[in-house]
Amino acid sequence: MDILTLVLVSIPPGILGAIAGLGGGVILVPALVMMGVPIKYAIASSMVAVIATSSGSAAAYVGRRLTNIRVAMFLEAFTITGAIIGAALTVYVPPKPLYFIFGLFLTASLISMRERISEELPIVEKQDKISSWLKLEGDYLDEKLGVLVRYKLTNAIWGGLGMVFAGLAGGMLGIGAGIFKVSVFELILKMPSKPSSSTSNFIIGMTALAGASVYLFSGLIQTYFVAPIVAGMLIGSMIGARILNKLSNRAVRIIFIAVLLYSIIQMLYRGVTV
Amino acid sequence: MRNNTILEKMISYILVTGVLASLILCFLGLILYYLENRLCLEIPFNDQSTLLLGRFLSQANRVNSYTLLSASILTILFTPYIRVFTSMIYFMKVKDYKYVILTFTVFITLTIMFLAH
Repeated sequence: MDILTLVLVSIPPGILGAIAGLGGGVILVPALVMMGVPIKYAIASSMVAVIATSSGSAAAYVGRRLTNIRVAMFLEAFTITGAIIGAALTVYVPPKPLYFIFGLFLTASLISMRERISEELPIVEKQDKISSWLKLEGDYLDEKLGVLVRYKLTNAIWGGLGMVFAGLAGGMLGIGAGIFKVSVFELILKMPSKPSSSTSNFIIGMTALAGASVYLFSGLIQTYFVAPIVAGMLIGSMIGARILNKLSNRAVRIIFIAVLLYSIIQMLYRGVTV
Repeated sequence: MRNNTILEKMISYILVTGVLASLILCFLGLILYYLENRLCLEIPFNDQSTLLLGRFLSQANRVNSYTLLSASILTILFTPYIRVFTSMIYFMKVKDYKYVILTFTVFITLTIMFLAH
């Protein structure tokens, strides 16, 4: 395995991660394992790489106001709490049922997403009081539609609880759990697809940081191995961030559904083989 | 469309700086690695190449591929941490106490996690 190959292998997960609102670990880890990397090093590297995708894409998204910072700040507190509880629970809960429980959640998300596939923008007529109090709303210039999209979010408390669940999944399975976060954004908070992807990417760096710090202090970060992956993911995420706003919300959702389906299969497969 | 808020500008600046600094350090480190190892691109997988904070700090005054690449990884790792801290200070300054509490929770949780290790 050489440095150039690692940089090149890491670019596509970075692109996909930036577009779909995931860290890209769901693609990167299997690719590294297929290249013969031991799974624990693959996961540890992926956690650092997820932060690279998050910061690389957010650097572009925040400047273009696709990321909703208030929403991100509100939900980060929930997802980090979930991640810590999840990491603590892994000692007591066997992994096999976890894959099925989280796989079931993702399947429910897939069904709901499919029903909304043709919907370009969700409409929230009336915000609940807490969402309104927290000013969970925003706007962004949609380059594909050529309009300024204003949106309001709803179900703040359910969204917060959803993020605790996403954090739990991340902490228990050792993943960034972007796929869970985007589902919460779109299905519970009723956020449009593009700000969902970009805000999820923004938050995911924080969840991954909690995980990566564990690996850093455990000595599982191999400098010469992780650095080219970080470079590849950063390049990929910056490319992906330039693509996202040129796509329709429907296209973003279709890409997300494809990754969701892949994640469900992967999760059920792990549930059977673990 | 309203202009970017000060917070958005600050966070954008932190992220862009963190990403560019990490990329530059990474490419310099990889070039140095290439030269140090007689034009070899193969990756070593051993204890000597493990990123350890103590080892990095003890070698930080030397310019070699290990310190540059480690600095690149640490820069990208701590970029989100810095942006949470900055957001917390911003919300304190504009007296938005709801968000001070939320950002403080995240910041203190991460700090405790680092210190616990």
